[in-house]
Amino acid sequence: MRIKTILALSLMLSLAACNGTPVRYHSDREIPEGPGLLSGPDGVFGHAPADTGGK
Amino acid sequence: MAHKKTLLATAVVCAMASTPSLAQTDAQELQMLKSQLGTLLERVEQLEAKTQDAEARAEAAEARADAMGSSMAPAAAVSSGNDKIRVSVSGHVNRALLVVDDGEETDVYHVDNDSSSTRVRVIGEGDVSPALTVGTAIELQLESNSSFDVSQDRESVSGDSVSDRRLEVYFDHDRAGKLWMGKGWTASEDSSEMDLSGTALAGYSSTADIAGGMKFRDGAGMLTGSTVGDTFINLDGLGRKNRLRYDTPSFAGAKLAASSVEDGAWDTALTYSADYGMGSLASAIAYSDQKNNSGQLNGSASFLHNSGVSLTLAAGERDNVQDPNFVYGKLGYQNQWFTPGTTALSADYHVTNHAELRGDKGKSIGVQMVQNVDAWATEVYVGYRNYDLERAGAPLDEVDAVIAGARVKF
Repeated sequence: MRIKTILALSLMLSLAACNGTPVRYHSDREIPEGPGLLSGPDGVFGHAPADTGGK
Repeated sequence: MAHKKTLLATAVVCAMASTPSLAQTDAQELQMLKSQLGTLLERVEQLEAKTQDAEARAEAAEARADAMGSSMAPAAAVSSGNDKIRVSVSGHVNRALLVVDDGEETDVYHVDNDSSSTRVRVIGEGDVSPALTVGTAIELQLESNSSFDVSQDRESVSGDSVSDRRLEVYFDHDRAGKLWMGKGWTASEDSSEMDLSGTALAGYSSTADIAGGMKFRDGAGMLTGSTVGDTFINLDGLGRKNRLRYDTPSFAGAKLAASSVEDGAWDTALTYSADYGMGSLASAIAYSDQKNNSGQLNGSASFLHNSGVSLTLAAGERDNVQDPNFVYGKLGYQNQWFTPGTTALSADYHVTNHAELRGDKGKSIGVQMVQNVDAWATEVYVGYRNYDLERAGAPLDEVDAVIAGARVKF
């Protein structure tokens, strides 16, 4: 019950603060965005899709 | 050439004429000067010949380069053969040294850090209409000696080190949302792992990732069957599975997702990510249901202030025979102290209850540091973690682990 309360409060806080500018979250544990050592500034070999990582 | 010689001779004559003592010089001194003049003229001729030779070689090289120009034009390393399709290959390698003290022995392991395993990804996408994109994703994990698998009696993990992470197709529509089919992230994946600290490579809410296979020793110093991975959990939804998933479009940063997963499981999640003037927030809450439980609720939120200070919280509980639960908190700070890139520091605390056996209580404290080296697309990291498992009637030694390594995006 304690955890459900914490989660519910967190959700309420998040939604209450919904006046921010939407951004896309990229997990640090997925393949990093940005340049690659071998692939250069694009960070990929080939053509970069618009959105491929994380939720 | 003749012009230069004339100038040089004139200069010498003028110099001689302007010298008051020249009138008194004898024939021997005049002869010596003539000899020096001759030497200088020879040297000028040699230098001029070398210059002409170098210019000729440069012109020849330039002509060869021009002739090869068409065949040496830069080309994409991967091309689709279809102008409407985008194909990309990317990935990273993440290797580390893991040092573990289990209370009895200290060993060093050569591992692939399971927090962000070595992987390669191929994405193909095509815009079939202005609003609809069709895509495919193939992502493979190449993990030799996973940090989650090595243990005191298994320092070298045998068997296949290649496994699939994503094998899926998706249809992404601007207004209708996104439909995914195949193996990939379920809706609830990552819902306990929102983290903006910049130190997740070295430690995050899944605290067992860096030493999950390590076994606790009992009071007599003997290895038990209980591992760090069994007893320190973060209830992160359903992970990556074969599923059919749907995501709504983003409404002011909020997005709802649901998936129907193999083996009769299902889940749903609400995520919200936004930037405020003073910092940014990433949060998620999820509910999932599978055969071995009657439901699981979990979530996490992470806030990164513009000052570099971050706070990350996560919690969850599962409704089954043991009713396991966890809470997690991390305080971080990141700044660019050094020219190569941002340095991120953090400390975290994780408590799990009833993870393996009813009555178990696991407590873990850790500290992390990640140094970005932007010019090399590299992150160097080090993390320390202590695992303390309390089990009624069975005193167990604590486990201490230090992981240090580097992730390079290629």
